This record gives sequence, structure tokens and C-alpha cells, in this order.
Amino acid sequence: MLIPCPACGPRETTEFVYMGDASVSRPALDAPAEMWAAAVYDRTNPLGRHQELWHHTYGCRCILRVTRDTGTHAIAGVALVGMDPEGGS
Amino acid sequence: MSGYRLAQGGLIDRSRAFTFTFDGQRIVAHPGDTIASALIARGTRLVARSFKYHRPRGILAAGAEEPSALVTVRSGGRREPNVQATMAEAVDGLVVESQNRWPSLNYDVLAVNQLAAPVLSAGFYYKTFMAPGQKAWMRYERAIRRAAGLGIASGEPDPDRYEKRAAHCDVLVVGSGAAGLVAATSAAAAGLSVVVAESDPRLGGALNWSGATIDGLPAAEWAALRTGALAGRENVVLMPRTTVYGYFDDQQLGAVERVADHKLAPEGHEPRQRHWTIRARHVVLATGAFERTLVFPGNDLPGVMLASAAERYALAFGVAVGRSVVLFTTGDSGYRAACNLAVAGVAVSTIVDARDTAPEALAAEARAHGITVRAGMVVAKAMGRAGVARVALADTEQPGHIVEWIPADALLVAGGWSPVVHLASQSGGPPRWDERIKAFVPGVPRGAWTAAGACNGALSLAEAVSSGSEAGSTAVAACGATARAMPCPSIVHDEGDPAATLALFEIESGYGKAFVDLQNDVTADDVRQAHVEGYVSVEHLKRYTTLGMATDQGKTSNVPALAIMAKARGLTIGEVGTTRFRPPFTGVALGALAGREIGAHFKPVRRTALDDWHLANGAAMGNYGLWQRPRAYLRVGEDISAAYKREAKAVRGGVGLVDVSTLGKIVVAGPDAGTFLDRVYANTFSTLAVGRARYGIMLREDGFVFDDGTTWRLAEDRYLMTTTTANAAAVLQHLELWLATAWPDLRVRVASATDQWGAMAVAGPQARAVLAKAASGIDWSHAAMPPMAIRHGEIAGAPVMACRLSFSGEVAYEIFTGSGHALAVWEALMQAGASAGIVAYGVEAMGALRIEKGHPAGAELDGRTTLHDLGLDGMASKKKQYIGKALMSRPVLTDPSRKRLVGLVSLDGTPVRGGAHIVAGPAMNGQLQWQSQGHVTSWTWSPVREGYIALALVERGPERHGERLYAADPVRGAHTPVEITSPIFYDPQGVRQNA
Amino acid sequence: MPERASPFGERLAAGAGGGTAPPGVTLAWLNPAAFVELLELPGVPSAQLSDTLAALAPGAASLALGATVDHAGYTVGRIAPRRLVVIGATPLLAGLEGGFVIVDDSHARAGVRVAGAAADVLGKGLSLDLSERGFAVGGIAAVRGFGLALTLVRRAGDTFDVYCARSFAASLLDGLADAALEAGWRSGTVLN
Repeated sequence: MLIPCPACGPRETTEFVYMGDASVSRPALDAPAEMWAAAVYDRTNPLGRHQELWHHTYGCRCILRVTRDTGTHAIAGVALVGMDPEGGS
Repeated sequence: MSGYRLAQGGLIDRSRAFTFTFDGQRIVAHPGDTIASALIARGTRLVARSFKYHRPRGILAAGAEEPSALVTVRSGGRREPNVQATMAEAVDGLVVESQNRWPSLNYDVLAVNQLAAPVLSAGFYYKTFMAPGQKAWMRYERAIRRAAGLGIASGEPDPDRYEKRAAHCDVLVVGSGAAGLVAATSAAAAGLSVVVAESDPRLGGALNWSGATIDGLPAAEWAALRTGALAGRENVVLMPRTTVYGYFDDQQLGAVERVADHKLAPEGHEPRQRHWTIRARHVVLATGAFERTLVFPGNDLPGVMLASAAERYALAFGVAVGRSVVLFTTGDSGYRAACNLAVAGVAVSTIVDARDTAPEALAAEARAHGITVRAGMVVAKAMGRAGVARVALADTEQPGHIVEWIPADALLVAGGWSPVVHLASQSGGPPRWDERIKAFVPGVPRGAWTAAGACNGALSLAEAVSSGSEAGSTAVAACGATARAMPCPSIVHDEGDPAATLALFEIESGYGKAFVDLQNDVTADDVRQAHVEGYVSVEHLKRYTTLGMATDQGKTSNVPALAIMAKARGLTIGEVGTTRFRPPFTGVALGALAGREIGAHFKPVRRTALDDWHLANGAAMGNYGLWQRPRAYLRVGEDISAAYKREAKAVRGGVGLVDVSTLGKIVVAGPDAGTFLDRVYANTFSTLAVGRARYGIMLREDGFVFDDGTTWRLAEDRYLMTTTTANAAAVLQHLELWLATAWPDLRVRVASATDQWGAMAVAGPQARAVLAKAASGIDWSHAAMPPMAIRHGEIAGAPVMACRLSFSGEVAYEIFTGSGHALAVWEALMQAGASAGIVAYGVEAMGALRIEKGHPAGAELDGRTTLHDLGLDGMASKKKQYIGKALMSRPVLTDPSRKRLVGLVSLDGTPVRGGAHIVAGPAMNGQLQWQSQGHVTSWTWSPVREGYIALALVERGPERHGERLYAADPVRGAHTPVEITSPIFYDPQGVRQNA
Repeated sequence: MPERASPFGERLAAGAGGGTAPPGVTLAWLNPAAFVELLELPGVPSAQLSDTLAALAPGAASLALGATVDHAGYTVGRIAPRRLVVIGATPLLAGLEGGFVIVDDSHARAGVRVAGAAADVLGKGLSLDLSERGFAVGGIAAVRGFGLALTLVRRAGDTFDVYCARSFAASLLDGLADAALEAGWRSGTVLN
């Protein structure tokens, strides 16, 4: 399986580390424990389209938001998280 | 004796001859021969015993579809079992052995299994051995595995190299027959980068044995001309002896190049095999078609062979498969084969055509060669002791009524064609039944591929060429290039209509065992029995009968089996469908998949800049993750235990030096660095003064402890974080994740600095004196450099950064210097400390010193402990928010009965090892009836206690100091009385390290 | 100041080599004075970043991802979004501090220049497309190779500079030398 990194181009999955479900939004640090428990433990585990975070550990070290079909591995989209690919300059 | 070498013909080099041995017998071969062609030329028919019944088997095919003729080649560490004799090239001096027979191929004792055949039918193993409550399998497994099986691996290390390589191209063409060559030529002419992979040593595929004329040339010569033209192009790579075995996600294909399999041993530094991962924008699957056998009694006898195989042996190898040949066909293609054989000099006596009417022109051509054509007839049975001797004919409509016996030493079968859809199926929807050609053709592509030629059902040469041309244009367009018009080759080839085939798969004459799968000994009756027993899914049929398993994967058996199943269920073959084809297409050596990732190359190794010094000074090295670190430095007569005890004592009594370069180091910098660290750590860092360090502890978001270490504030907007050796990479990822997903606006960046710094700790009462002697630019006195102060200076001319911090409980300093200067600094310190008796100490002594001080480390920070468990609750800030705070105080994580950190003292002078469980019971008991109350995490011999101590996590531990329990270690046979103590065994007030 | 010790020790000393002769590959220790990472800080006006980069090297401000520019004895490359590297002679970095976090990796990297049949050698350890169309001369990439995180710079059609973390030096050289056995390799002159 290849992940098309927006910065580096298509690379093998061995370059990436899975960092969790991207559809989960992290609450603020001062949010109540119930919200945090839901964010940490509640997962839908869908068959089909799934939002995932991947870290391009061996490449640009960016966090990617990957839309992947868990049934076919087909990747519908990839975006850098928290980073404009062109940078400020 | 039946086969022989023809006086002329073939693509072999008749000017040279050599020999190899088959079960000790010398076999003459020419360059270009396979083991199979040389064996047939020698007259050998019996080459194997079958998997289950040990029936005599011969050679059915001439290529990758061969189910029976599996042999073991080479010897010693290079021994390789289950090699298809049809694919292995003959090599001078090669040792070839038959398989699955004892004591010999001709007299195989286990052939008695045939007598037990009625009970060895489908599902025998499941029914007999796997039923609930049965223990028979356990008892008989060894004997069964010996009786039924394939070849035996060498059991020795393989002396050869296997390599992996990556390749990228616009167009990958798999197969180099007519369609493949035309497609490749078209893609190459458009300027695309093209790779052509061909399993055989010679490109051209079936052109090499077709007998056709193309552009006025014999087809084989035309193929050579086309191949030569491709080879001369810079944008084309031709890969003979390369089998594409898997079509994986995202246009990645796996292929194995047999670099040196056609030699006794690889030459120079070449690998035996090279595994290629080929990434192609578009793939042309020109993998051809396998001819099908027909299912009738005796169809597994040696001497029964595919018609196309006999054609190939005659035209490509100059070998006649028999002296009296009968050909049984259900379609036109058998006639072309018979005529080609006759032209090559092979005596074909009869064509038996199951159809009522023979094709006029082809039949006339056959008769002109002296061949008798018997239309409307079938072969009801083949007979013979060790091979075919005679063939029974019957009317197609009455197969059980034998009308005539005719003599034959070879019975050729032309049962229609099955496109090689394996790769297409791996990267596409299910193969589709094509009623026109009575075969499965590729389904809907999932990847970017186009099937061409016989693989796509274009069975005639003319169709294959135009299909290859179309596929070439499709590939060119898919890569965004423009196809150039190519002249259409002119073809002279009367092959009738190869698709004109009767839908006849089994001749139900009832005269005995009729095999569907020759490799796994599955008969037509086994398939029917599976149906009777309720197996209606083809996937279940496969598992229950073992049909299409092992190396064969149903290449010849798939369609006949499905036809029988369809008939039993009253459905069409298309409705029954086929099993999914999975990689690999043919067997792949594990060595090729491993490549060079074996032995010392198995995984990368990390070494500190001081590694060579450690090795030169007696270090016993240990693996810590990927890192190599000295466990202890052994002096003459010492083992590790003696060495670390000496080293730890020396630090307490004098001074020691330890390499701590493996500590993770992370630059955290930017105007918001302090804010960021306050959110990451449970304690506060924004208030830390520049030039000072602080011990920090960070939690995961689920509230458990993640990692610890000191973090140094080097400037207002710059910190150097240190992590444990084990978590360095994970902590950096954690920081990057939170910055990207939660706080992208924080003006802070992080980067690894682990490798930039060589780091060492000078520890012990004499540390200050040694540093004062070795270093310049730093006042090491207590007043000038209090605990946690950072100073910059020089040692051995190299810039150093020093921080006064101690994990050993002694006065200690960590010295950081550029990795390339670490050795110079280390040696200067050893020299300066010589008069004070400085020792280098390793990980074991470092562990002893920190355990005496009760500092938690990796074994305690195992991902299941909380600040509360470790007695570090006091560090957590109550004034700020940080990762993990919300879930840290969940009731389950603050339950007073949790296992919490304590010290243990061994009461009988024996060690208490990590992993031992804390129990109340005084005696070791085989049943270990005692409830575990906790476990030992770290242990050591303590220089200050002069005995064994440990750290442990024990239920309600801190409330139980003074209690006496036992450390149960049944695996290592120990049961040690222990007393629970404070985890701090030494200088609890920290007087010594703060002196 | 003491000489910087080679991360490869004797393994890449003069006369070292292996495999088929005559050798088709040269492996030489790359020992640049500087290997510096420049990490753009969020929230800094792009004009400020551009101005300071332009002072470092003409064209550095407009570098595309994966491209490099050579200037004043060093190479500036944009290796990842908001991340540049400077490799070679020690650059003047004073003006960059406001817009960038500067990370000195000059002791943190082990480098080898692979010259000759370099694409064949690297193709045994990397899955990157090493054709000049896939990875042009002057290109830079962060990529996994031989099991390691590598920084790869293409200096010429047949010449690549390969850097890994210093502690992995022996593994990198082990992988390169093993892959180069078929072509044969010899150590080259140290490149400072």
C-alpha cells in the first residue's frame, strides 16, 4: 500500500506510523473527564471510508489526514494537518 | 522408453552437450533444455509419485502449469524441493531427485495407499482426525505428514545471497508472447519506460513453438527480431527468467528474477534470486493461456500430456514425446498441434475429436500427414502399468461403451484453454465466464491494467497480435503519451478457430479413478462427494477436497472441477464462479522475500560515538532497542555480575564515567516553547530559569505515565528535552502530533537532537575533582554550580555543555559534547580521573545505582503505571492544564488497592529477579496456589546493602513497609523471602548528591 | 578544537572496499562543516521569511519542495513543508533567528557519497524512483532506505549523497557496501 504524501509523493506504508482515528476531535485540556474518556476510548471501527492520522516518520515528519477505505485500502484523499504545505515563505 | 530426441529442430544448442543426474542416473542435455525436456528425450516417463496415493506420475505440461513433475534440485545447503521440472533449466552437473517415494521411484512402498483409496477420499483427514474429542491427529500426524507430502527442505543454511530491488516504469508488460511483444513495442515507440517480464529464459512465449509464419519469418525468428529491437532501446528493460507472482495494491507488483538458478552456484557476487517490487503506471497482462486437460479414467498416467506441451517439446526442444502418439481433442487447436508435431517428425497416429464434425481444412491437413481422424469419439480410459500403453475409444454419446483399443505410448490432451487470469484476479473483480471460449477471462480491473492476447481470451495468433496492439495503445494513452501507428504484422497460420471447443470437461465412462487435480490427488468423485456432503461454495470445495491447493493453485484443475461442481448443482460454470486467485502465482522462495534482511542485516543497529572505545575496553555489549550499549566492562576473570558490582562500588567510593548518549534529546524552541512544555509535562517548565534543568514527567492522554527525563532551559525560547532511551522516537512523534492537531498556532518547533550530542555522566565523590582537572571555563564548586545548573566550557579543546544532575545519588554531572568530539572528551576524562581511580561503568551498574535511589525507569514506566503508583503525585501541577490530567484522576487510577512502587530486600541472600510475583505463601508449590499481589520490576545487587534488592509494584505497597512476603519465580525455580521497604534504599535525604 | 571523528571509523578508510573488481562504485565519507536544519516558526510573516532566506542564498526563498540551490559552498534544500536544510560550509545564520528555529545537526549526521552505479546500489535499499525523471539532479528527499531515515541529495546523474543519523552510520555503510558488492566498491576521498 502506498500513501500519497502531499509533501513527498507516494511512499510505502513502511515510512508511516499510524496515529489514530482522525475523526475524533480532542477536547480542550480542561474539558471534563467524560469528554476525554469518549475521545480516548470511543471508536466506530467502520468498514469503508475512514479518517485516519498518519505520521510520515521516515519522510517529512508531517501529520497526514488520510481518507482510506478500510475494505479496499483505496485512499480517497490526503491532507497535511496543521501545516500549509507551501509554508510561510 | 517412449520419448526421444528428434534429429533436428528446436531452439537448443545441439553443438554442446552435458549431463546431470536424475536419481543417480546420468541424463544428457543441451543448453536450452529444461530438466523435463531432457528427461523426455532420455525416454523417462515416470518422474514423480503423487501426493496422497503415491501413484506413478509423469510430465503433463511444459511450463508453469505443471502439477506433477516436482523434483528436488541441488544438494547440501543449496537443496531446493518442489521445483517444477518443466521450469528448471538443465545444468551441467546438477543433482536432481524425485520426491515423495520410498525406497525408490520405481518401487514405492506407499503406493499401497492406492488400495486404501476408498477411505482416503475428500475430507478424509477432517473426518478421521479432526472430529471433536479425537486425539488421533496428534498421534498420527508425523506418519501422515511423511506419507503424504512434497519434497524435503535442506535443513541447512542457504549459502547464497538473495536481494531485493525496486523498479519503476510507465508500462510493465507481463509475458512476452505475441501480444506482449506487440504491446511493449507500441509503448516503447511512444517513448515510455517499459519493463517486459518473462518467466522463460527466452522471450517470445508461444511464438517459439507455434509453427506460424509472421512477416515471412518463422514465428520464433520474428520474436527474436522483435526482442532484439526492444533490447536495443534505452527506455526498455527486458527481464527474462523473471516471474511476476503478485499484483498488489497501488500498482505494485512482486516479481522474482532467477539470476543464478540456471547455474550450479551463483558467480561472483551475484545473488541467486532477486526480488523485484515493480511500480508501474499501467500494466499489460499478456500472460497467455494454459491448455486444459480432460478428466477421464487413467488421465494421470505417465505419458498423458497436454497437446500444447508436446508441441513445445518438439518445436522448442527438438524432443518427441512418444513413438506412437494419440491426440484427444475437444476443439480445433488439437489439429494444429498434431500437424505441427507431424511436421517436426513426431509420429501421431490418431486424432480423437469429441465433436461430431471435424474441421474440414485442418482434418484434411492432418490426414495428409498420415493421421487418422476419429470424430465423435472420446477417450474412455487410458491403460498401462507405468505409463500409457493403450487407449480405449468410445462414442461421445456413450462413453461407457468401449468400441476400440488403440496402442499409444503418449496420449495428448487438448481440452480447451484457460486464460492465465491470476494476476488480473489479484487486482480486479472475479474472473468472468466467457461462453464463447468456454473459459474464465479477466474480470473488472481494480488496478490500472489491460489484459491482452490469450490472457484476454484472444486465443488465435491473429487475435493476440491485434489485442496486444490495442493494449499497447491503451497503456500509452493511460500514461498520457501518444501512440504511434505501427505496421500490422502479416500472419500465415492455419489454426482454425482455437475458441471452437466443446463444453466437455469430464468423460464419465465409469472405468476407474479420473483425476481433476493431479498435484493434490483429487478425483472427479471427490468433487461430487463434497457436493453430496453439502459443500456448495467453491471456496469451501477447495478447502474440503484440497483441490487447487499447494504450489499448483489449480492452474490445470480449476475449470474441470468447477464444471463437475456446476453439473452436480445444476448450474452453469459462470453461476458457480471461480475461487479467488491469491499471490503467489508460482512458488516464491522465502529467501527471496527475506532478501538481505537476515543475520546481521536483519535490522539496523545504533551505536554511540563511543562504541569503538567500549569494544576496545572489554565491554560486554547488550541490545537496548536498536542501541548497542555496554552492560559492563569485564576485567580478566570477571563475569558481568562481578564487573557491575565492582563498577557500582567504585562510583559510590570514588568516581565513574558512563556513556548516556542513548538518551533521547529533543530541541523544543520558539517563543511559545515554555507554554507548550507546560501542556506536555505534568509539572511546570515555563517558570524554569535559563541555565537550569528540571526533572519532568509526562502523561499520555489516558492519564498513564508516558515518559520522564530532565529538560534544560538553554535560552528564553529554547529548551533541550531529554527522554528515556526507549521512548525517544515515540515522545518526538507525540509532540509533533499534538502540535499539528491541537496547537498549530503555537510558535514552537521540535526536532530530534539525539545524535547531535555525545553524552556522558561523571558520578561519585571524586567527580568534581576530575572535572576541575579536565575542563576549562567552568567553576564546578557547589556554590558556583548548584544542582540542576547548566554551564558551558571546554574539555580536550571541544566545547561542552554540563549539567549538575544525579540519578546515582552521588555528586554527578552530565557532559554533552558534539558526537564527533565525544571520544576526545571521554578519553580526556578517563585520563584526568586516572589518579582518582576512575572507572568506566555500564548499564548494569547504572541500574544498580538508580535502583538504590528508587528512581523509576523503563521497567516501572511500562505504560500501566500512574503518578500515584510511582509515588510521584506530588510532581503534578494543580495550577495548570496538561495532557492526561483529565483522565489521571479517574477512580480506577486512584484506587488505593492499586499496585504501587515499593522496595524489596532479599532476606536469604539470593537474587529476586524481574518478573517474579509477590505472594504470601512460604513454599514453592507446583500449582502456585497463591494469589499474586504484585511483581518485581527491577532488581540488582546493592553495593551499599551488600545484598540483593529490587523495586516492585505491590498492592497497597506504601502501606506495607516492613511486611514479609515471598517473590515467587517458578520458571527459574526460586521462591525468595523478601521484606517490603521504601523504594529509596540509599541516602533518602539526598545529602550526598547535594554536597 | 579536535577533529571531528568519522562515524564510520576504519570501515571507510582509504583502501577499504569489497566485491567485484574493477569497482563500479565509490563510497566516500561526507564530512561537511555544517548540517543545519531551519524550521519555520508559525505566525511569522512570509515576507520576513523570504527576505532572510534570500540573504542565505539567492533563490532559497522560492525553492520548491524537494529542490536545492547551491551557494557559497553550501547547499540549501527544502526537504519538507516549512523545513529547510543547509549542508556544506558553515553558513551565516544570524538573520534567520526571528523566523526560524535553527537546529545544528553538524555532529548528528553520517554521510556517504555514492558515485558510479549509484542508482543500482540505492535501488536495492530504497523504493524511490531513482530515474532522473523521478528524482532530478539537485533533488533532495527525506526517505526510508536500508531500514533507516535518510536524507538523499542527487548531485549528478550517477552521484548521490546519503545522510542518516550518526548512530546508524555502521548500518548505513553495511547496507550500501552489501548492495554494492555486485558492482564492486572502493572508498573514495573524504569530502569536507
